[in-house]
Amino acid sequence: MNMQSNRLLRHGILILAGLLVLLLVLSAALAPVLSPYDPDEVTLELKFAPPSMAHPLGCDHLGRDVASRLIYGARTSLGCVAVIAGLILVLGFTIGATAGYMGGTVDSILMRICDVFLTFPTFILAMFMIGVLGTGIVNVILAISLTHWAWYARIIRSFVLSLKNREYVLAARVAGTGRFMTVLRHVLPPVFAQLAILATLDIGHMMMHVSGLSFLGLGITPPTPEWGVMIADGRQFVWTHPELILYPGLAIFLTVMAFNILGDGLRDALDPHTQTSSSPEDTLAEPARMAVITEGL
Amino acid sequence: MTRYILKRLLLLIPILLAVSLVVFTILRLGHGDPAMAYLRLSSIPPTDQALEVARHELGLDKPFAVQYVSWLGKAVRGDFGISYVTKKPVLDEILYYLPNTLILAGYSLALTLLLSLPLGMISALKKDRLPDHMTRGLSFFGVSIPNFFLGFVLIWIFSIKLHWLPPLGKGGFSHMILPILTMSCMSLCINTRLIRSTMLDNMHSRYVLYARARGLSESVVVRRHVLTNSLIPVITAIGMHAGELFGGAVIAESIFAWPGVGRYAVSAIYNRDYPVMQCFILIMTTIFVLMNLAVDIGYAWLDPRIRMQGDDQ
Amino acid sequence: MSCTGKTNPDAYLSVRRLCIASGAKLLVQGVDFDAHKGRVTGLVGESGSGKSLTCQAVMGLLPHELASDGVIALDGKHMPLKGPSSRIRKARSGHAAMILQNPMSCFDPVFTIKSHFRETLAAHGVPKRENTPDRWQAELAEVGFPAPKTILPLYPFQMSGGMLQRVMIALALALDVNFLIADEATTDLDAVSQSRILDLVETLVRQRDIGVLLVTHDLSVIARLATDMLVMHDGVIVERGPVRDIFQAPAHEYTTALLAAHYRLYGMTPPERRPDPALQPTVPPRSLQ
Repeated sequence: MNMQSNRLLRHGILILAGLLVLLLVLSAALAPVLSPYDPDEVTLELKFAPPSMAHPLGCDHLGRDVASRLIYGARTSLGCVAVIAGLILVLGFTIGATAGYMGGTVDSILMRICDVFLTFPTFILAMFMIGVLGTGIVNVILAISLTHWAWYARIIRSFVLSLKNREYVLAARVAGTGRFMTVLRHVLPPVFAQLAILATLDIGHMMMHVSGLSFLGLGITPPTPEWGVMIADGRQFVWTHPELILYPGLAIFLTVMAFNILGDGLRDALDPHTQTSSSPEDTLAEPARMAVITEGL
Repeated sequence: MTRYILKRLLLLIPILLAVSLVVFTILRLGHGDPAMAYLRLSSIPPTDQALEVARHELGLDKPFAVQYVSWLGKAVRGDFGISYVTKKPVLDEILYYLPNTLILAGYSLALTLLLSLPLGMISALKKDRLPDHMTRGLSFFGVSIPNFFLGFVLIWIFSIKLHWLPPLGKGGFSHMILPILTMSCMSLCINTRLIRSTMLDNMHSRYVLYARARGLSESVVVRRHVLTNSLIPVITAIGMHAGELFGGAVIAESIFAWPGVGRYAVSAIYNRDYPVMQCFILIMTTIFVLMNLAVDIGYAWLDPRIRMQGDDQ
Repeated sequence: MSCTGKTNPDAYLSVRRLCIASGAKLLVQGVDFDAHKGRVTGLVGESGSGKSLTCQAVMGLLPHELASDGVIALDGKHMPLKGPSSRIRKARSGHAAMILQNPMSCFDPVFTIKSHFRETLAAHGVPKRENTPDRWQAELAEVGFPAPKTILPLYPFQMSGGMLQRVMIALALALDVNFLIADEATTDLDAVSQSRILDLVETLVRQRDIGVLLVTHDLSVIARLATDMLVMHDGVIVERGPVRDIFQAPAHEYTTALLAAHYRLYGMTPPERRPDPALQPTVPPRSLQ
């Protein structure tokens, strides 16, 4: 493959991913408008109805329209992940940036707290929190936010630390810019860019944890249409009607892939430090994780 | 090196203490009255008097610090309480199921490492040629597929359609294949890409240039120098994989009805069986911490710069 | 571009018509030069002039993405520019060795100096009974280490740049080569270490009759050590000749500019471009010891 066709292919894939994400966001936002049926409407006569003009993806074991459930599922999953991402970013940024910029005792204390949370395996901790808080969409959001923020805080902190001592920041301080303005103008913008990349790349991971918990019955519970819940619903019919698992599974798969592609593209655009040897797809969030892990040594 | 190991071993104590404190705090702060759950599971009507008796029996009427210390004292001696559901000692039950989970996790980790190393190497050495494109494409897919979906896909292909492998339960080795594949997929893909990118970075490093200038053969350069240096971040990544694997084990056990500790814990969570829940997270976290310690030691063993930082020159 | 195409049998290193290209862009064009044993030939140029690429071409280390053409001869034998790396290695074995700048990054951080010695000698076919710590210590002693035994078990990060540069020279000597290519070998070093290395190279040239291609952008190093020099600019050799002549009377405008900058550093007036025989030639001073 020569450079031209390679680049064209990359751009094509990026555009496709972007379109898919747009489609998902639209589905999520406009679910009541787009969905042909009420996702909770049980019509037992239509039990396991095959795909038809009226029901393009057929019906599930309770006669509910699968396509409608998928659309509403997008709303639940994406909505959940969006809130989680927001919470994590706010929490991680506040703590990480404060620790990095202030340094000293503040830094030590905040980082100890971070370390404690990082000591737990995240999914297990989320399970435990659900056990304590109970199931339901709010608790899922809380559980996953509380278990994931520490990673972000660490990354933001090391990023802020590296920025703090860069020449242009020091120059600004020497020139007399107040601390606050320095932070605002010189430290924040690159941090936001980095955060955007990290968050996009991690959305897939968060979505899998939300759906995973829901699949186990520890997250969003039936009858709420959520892709993980749909897979759990369909598991007993894997022998007879595997498509009930296939559709929501594919939905998650395509969504995660689309966000990963988007995240890589974002990183290419915003972070020019990708090395020539490794291509963008290779790393997802690993180097950041590596930085966190090795830093914790 | 021994000093480094000793230092890390000593650090375990405050770490585990902090973990236990967090678990205990979350438990006490969360919703759900343990006394209520206990009564419910014992099928005792929750009258006010019964609640009071239950609270006293469970030690819930004492101050927080006292509760914590007495709980910790018992935990250290191996007494994690009685399951609200089965009325048997919690630690015994968990230790009964734990080996099954560890078997799955162990094999999955082994598969991840054994497959990702050659795949990553080939991908790096044959960069931008067909093996590389195939590996990268497959890895990209593998990272995006949720393991609870993959499990059913594998069941459908290998059990339902091909009748090659059993879909459920514990039995011989053939029962383990599908769960292990389900669990290792994501770690395998991540590790392959990691090895590829690390090796490529190292292939362009100056010490490789100098090694070639010194006349070393290409195979010596790659095998001895590039690979050793590439292994360092890979070893560090094992800790990360372990965390994902534990989560994957819970899901795989659910899908394949594998009698492991994850499945046990899920049903305990349904039942608000608090003693089981807290023992579960403590045991799993302790294993996780020990694994990370092993990883750190392995990392220090490989990289003299880390090893010697603690010692005097 | 003057070339006869035939390599000089008297010169140890002889390069003719060397061209290196990246895609359509020519990085090095028609480079011809000779370098002799027992003498230091300087190669001067700024970053990007192509001097490092030329060195890599001589050593057969050019990256695969670059296309190359020309003739390179070491001790009268033609060296392959392309092909399997084993063939390239074998051809240069015993003839030429290279020392590089930033020695800290050149050594594998997880291997000891001992390991570096062992593998380097083993790669050149030295049998096990000769590939011993005694031999390595002898080489280290020759480059000026008073206690070579303590050096062998060290890791690269435990040593300074100057020390590592001397180890690099020791490795080159251990291979018993007749020619040394020093690619910016003193660029990263402080003045004291730099001076020590240059003294060492001078001693080795004298004692072992080694030829040196000294690549640098620092004219004081050239003035210190080199007898002949080549000036490279934009991939082409723009001037060549004895150091003394060029310093007194540069012919090419690029050389003039280089020398002007160099002299100004010492607070002296640079020489005229075209020398007037009536004027007293000023001898450039020896730079700092």
